Amino acid sequence: MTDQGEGEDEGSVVVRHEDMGQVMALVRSLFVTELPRTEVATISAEADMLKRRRLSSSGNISLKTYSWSNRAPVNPGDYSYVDVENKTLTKSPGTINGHQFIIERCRNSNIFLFDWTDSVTVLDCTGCAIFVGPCKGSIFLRHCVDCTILVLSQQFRTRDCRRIAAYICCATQPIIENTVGAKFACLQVNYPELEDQMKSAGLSAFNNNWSHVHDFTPNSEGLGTSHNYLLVGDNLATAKVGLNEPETIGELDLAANFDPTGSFIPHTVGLSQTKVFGETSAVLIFTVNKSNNLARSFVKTMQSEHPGLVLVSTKEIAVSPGDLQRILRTNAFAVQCAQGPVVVLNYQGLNAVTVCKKLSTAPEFATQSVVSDTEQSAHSTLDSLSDLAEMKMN
Amino acid sequence: MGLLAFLRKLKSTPDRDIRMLLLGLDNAGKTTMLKKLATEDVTHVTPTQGFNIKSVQSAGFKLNIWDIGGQRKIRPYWKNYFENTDVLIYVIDSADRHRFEETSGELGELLLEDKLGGVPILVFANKQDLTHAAPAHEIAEGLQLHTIRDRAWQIQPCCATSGEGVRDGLDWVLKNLPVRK
Ligand SMILES: Nc1nc2c(ncn2[C@@H]2O[C@H](COP(=O)(O)OP(=O)(O)OP(=O)(O)O)[C@@H](O)[C@H]2O)c(=O)[nH]1
Ligand SMILES: [Mg+2]
Repeated sequence: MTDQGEGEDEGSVVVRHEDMGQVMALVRSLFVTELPRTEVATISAEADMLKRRRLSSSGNISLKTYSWSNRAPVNPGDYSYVDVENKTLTKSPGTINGHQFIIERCRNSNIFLFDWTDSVTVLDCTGCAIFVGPCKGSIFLRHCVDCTILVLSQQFRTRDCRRIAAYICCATQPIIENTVGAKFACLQVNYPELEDQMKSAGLSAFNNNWSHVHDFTPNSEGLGTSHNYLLVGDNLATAKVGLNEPETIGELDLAANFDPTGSFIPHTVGLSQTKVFGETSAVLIFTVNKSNNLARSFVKTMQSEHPGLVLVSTKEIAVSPGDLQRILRTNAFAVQCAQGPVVVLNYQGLNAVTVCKKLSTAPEFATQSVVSDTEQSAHSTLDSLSDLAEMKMN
Repeated sequence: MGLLAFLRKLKSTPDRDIRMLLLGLDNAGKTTMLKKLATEDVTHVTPTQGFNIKSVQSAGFKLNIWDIGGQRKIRPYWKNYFENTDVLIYVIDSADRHRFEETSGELGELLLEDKLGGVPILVFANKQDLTHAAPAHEIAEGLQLHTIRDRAWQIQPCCATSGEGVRDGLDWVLKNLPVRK
């Protein structure tokens, strides 16, 4: 444990040892015959070190080797940005390749990780804009102030942060603890390598719970609401991601697009208790040829032909034929749902049910999609599917 | 190793249910480990707001594993789960070096709990696969595990997402389950 300071015990051992060295030198200069004692001191220090590094109460030292035991050493500096100030730094695709990444003590900087990672921690950063490509595990922000963070990840966690704007695509429920003045929005981004990186990280653009934030320390305890964060649902707000000094970034020619147009992540306005945009419709689209392209083209068509309807939330979830039959009360889609996960789209707006139903009968979607017949059944389908998703995540 | 296989390896049938308690800081990998043991999908694990429990039954007795959320705010509730614990499993994110002190502090408090007195403890040095992970012996040293004298303990390096090393930890648990008459 390098950076947390030695325990008191350990510290005093070291000091004593040094004292011993001085004493021994003194003794040695007086009586040459006393020399062997230095060896005794060395051996006991080594024994002491071994004792402190023991792996079990029975004293057994495990000699077993694991896949990580003989891993080729990496340069930690290749997978971290520490003490960066007033800079724009970029990791291009292929340079991180699923490693863990650490961003620490950075100020007023732009940091872009255009690659997939395993886990990411962002610690003690101030005034930074940070983009983190698909993260297979969790991204954890601690002690960050005035930062904009854009990230795609399995988990999103913050603790002890102030005024952070989080543009995210998160596969599970984002959580905050002792965090104030946070803003959450649906991440909009695209670049050529993103799709493959999402696959490597095991993430889906449709599985986005950005608005389903849980606050462990709400400042209105008991009322069930939190004033520590705000959900930003409108499209315009997401276009401005608040990156530092856009001029500098412009020079870099990022080859990444943070505009809603062409975003790989479908824009959703998010679930909110208070806002309803009209009638609710539930659209289920099945996996075809191992891909969710059909769902993608459904969303695209809706966007261009029915811009008045709002996409509230999207999910991608593996459903067993049995569960699907229970939820839809028909086993007509057993074959389709065995092909892979189902994309669930929650649309709201005037005549949403009719509009979605009509589009779903177009030849390309006809046999590969289901739209709930009524608003009521849409609600119950959406509820059952989110219960199912939640159950799988715990 | 799934939980059932684990149960079958027990030499003699205990006369009551076995209770394992999974604790550790938030983000340590407890739920991932629990789900992996239950051979469930671990690619979409949500941070725990309360607790999860998995039970398996075999040869007339039950093994219950309790996984309690590790968020700082909810750690005061850990004590509600101490009673009748047979084995404490403490999970550490080996790659989060900045929180070694915090996790060491929490572990220290657990070791002082009367209700957990003498309960064997297995420490999982989890996330060994990560680039910045500290090796188990370094963590053992930092946690000063060698100063524990009132119970059996072991630290086991592992990776909850792949399951590697988890089985070796459970083998130790098997050997150290308290004997009951
Ligand atoms: N690389 C890697 N990631 C892991 C490992 N174990 C867990 N993770 C990841 O770490 C994150 C946290 O895991 P969880 O299982 O939610 O942690 P937890 O201890 O249950 O956290 P709380 O519920 O908040 O107490 C997830 O994104 C996991 O995918 C591991 O061994 N290796
Ligand atoms: Mg958990």
